Amino acid sequence: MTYSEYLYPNDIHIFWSLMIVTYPFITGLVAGAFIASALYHVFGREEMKPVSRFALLVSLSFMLCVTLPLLVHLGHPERSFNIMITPHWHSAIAGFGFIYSFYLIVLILEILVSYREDIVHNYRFSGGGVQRMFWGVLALGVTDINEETRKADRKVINVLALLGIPAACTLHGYVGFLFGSLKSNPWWSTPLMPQVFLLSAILSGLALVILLYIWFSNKGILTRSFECLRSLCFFLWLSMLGYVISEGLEILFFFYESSDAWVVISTLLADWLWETFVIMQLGIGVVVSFVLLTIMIFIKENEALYTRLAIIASVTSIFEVWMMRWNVIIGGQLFSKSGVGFRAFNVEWLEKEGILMTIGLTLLPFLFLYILMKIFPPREAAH
Amino acid sequence: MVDPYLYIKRAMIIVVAIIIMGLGVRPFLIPASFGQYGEFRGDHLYEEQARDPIHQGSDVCAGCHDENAGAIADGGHAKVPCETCHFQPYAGDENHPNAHPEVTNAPDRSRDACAICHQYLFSRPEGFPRQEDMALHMENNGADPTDSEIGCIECHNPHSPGM
Repeated sequence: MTYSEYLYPNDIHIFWSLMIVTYPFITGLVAGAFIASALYHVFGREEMKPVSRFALLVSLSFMLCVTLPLLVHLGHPERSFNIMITPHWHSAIAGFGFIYSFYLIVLILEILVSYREDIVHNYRFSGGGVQRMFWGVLALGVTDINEETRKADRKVINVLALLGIPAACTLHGYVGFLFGSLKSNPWWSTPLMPQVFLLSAILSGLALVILLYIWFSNKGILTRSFECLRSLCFFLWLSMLGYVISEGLEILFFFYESSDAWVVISTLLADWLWETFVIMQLGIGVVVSFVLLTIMIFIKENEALYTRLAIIASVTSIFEVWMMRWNVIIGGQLFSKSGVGFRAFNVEWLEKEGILMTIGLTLLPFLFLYILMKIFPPREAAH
Repeated sequence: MVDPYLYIKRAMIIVVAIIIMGLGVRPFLIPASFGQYGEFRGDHLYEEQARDPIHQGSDVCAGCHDENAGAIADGGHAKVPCETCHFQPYAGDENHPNAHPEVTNAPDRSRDACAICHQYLFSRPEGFPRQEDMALHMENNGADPTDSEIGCIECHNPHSPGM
């Protein structure tokens, strides 16, 4: 079925496609990875030290790609800075420009300060030439390392992480806010939207950090610690719980209010989003991950089994979040402004906003992560 | 004794310097026509106006392609511009006199393309263009509506769509 009745003739095309699905997905990974790092720096979860610096690198590598899906979708990247050159109070995207820049600065500063000892070490022991100049620039001419400076650096990191948490939450809550404030669309227009987006962001970021942590600690690049993994998985469970409650409340409100919106939303869920929302997002994503994560709380000894379950639960969590973005963004455009008619969405492989571009943009941050890890090895230095 | 916060202080000086530089450069970056008509670049309107239309109208096509002219003039699609379906004026031939670099696809022969005008929609005026519940129409004529490969143009000539 391509079209149903009750579509307005100018209502046939779906304009926000895969790039608008990818954009909140990547933004969410940034916010989630940052929270993983802040758990150690701000909330004093000592067991998460092995992953704290690494999570910052993950956050930064995705941060560098956040704007790309939007630029691909809108075109004219050369005009993108105009949102900040001539901002307007009514423009949410101008707000994004400033929040994004603030958060990027905080993130870069936090990474530089947490790597300061390594930077100074590299500066002192690099042979000379370009390398020495590079580390010298990053060291900003400050090469003293002693107990005093270490203490000061730790304090600075705490403050930056503390500043970063609201920035991360605003950056992602803002995406949910945009959708939640669109009163023309009943599937989006709910004040619960920012929470749903934020909690799912933390969920996907933590899940990604868990997967990468397992991978890199097996390779010996990160320090292996069962306690760290357990802690990460526990917070994944917590954010999943928060997410399920928010998303569940949203649907429950729609159902119990039974306003005119429920006519279109019930059809949307029963017919048009049955596979992607009910089966994939709720069934595979939420139920499987949640059951596994709950079982994992009771596994105290068997590390091998725990790790395997953690991998499955993380993959299904990330899958869940991706499907959630799809169901919100594409799902919200499947029905007409008439509130009764439906239209289909077809994706293609090769078009500008097609599947290949989506895969490319989702994989690009891993290339940045690879480069960042070459410059800033994530293991704590021993010198 | 060196200030233990020297590093972050220097880093903050750089950040502040970048912000001040940004503010300093900003007046020069504001597009000249910004604010002419409102909170946007006024020139944008004229730039859009000056763009060449991709569609050139049926008369341009008819200048060379008279092979279907008779059928089209007599048929139900007489008033439909060629480029509605042949949205590239040259069907992939880069040497075509009207070749336009932005349009390269072959005509859309799918059922969906016809459905854009002909699928029955409650909100459309009755009678024109002819509207059908496509699935029902196919069933009534012995075709399987679930087979997306079957196009309308297997029975209907798009240049003169009667039977």
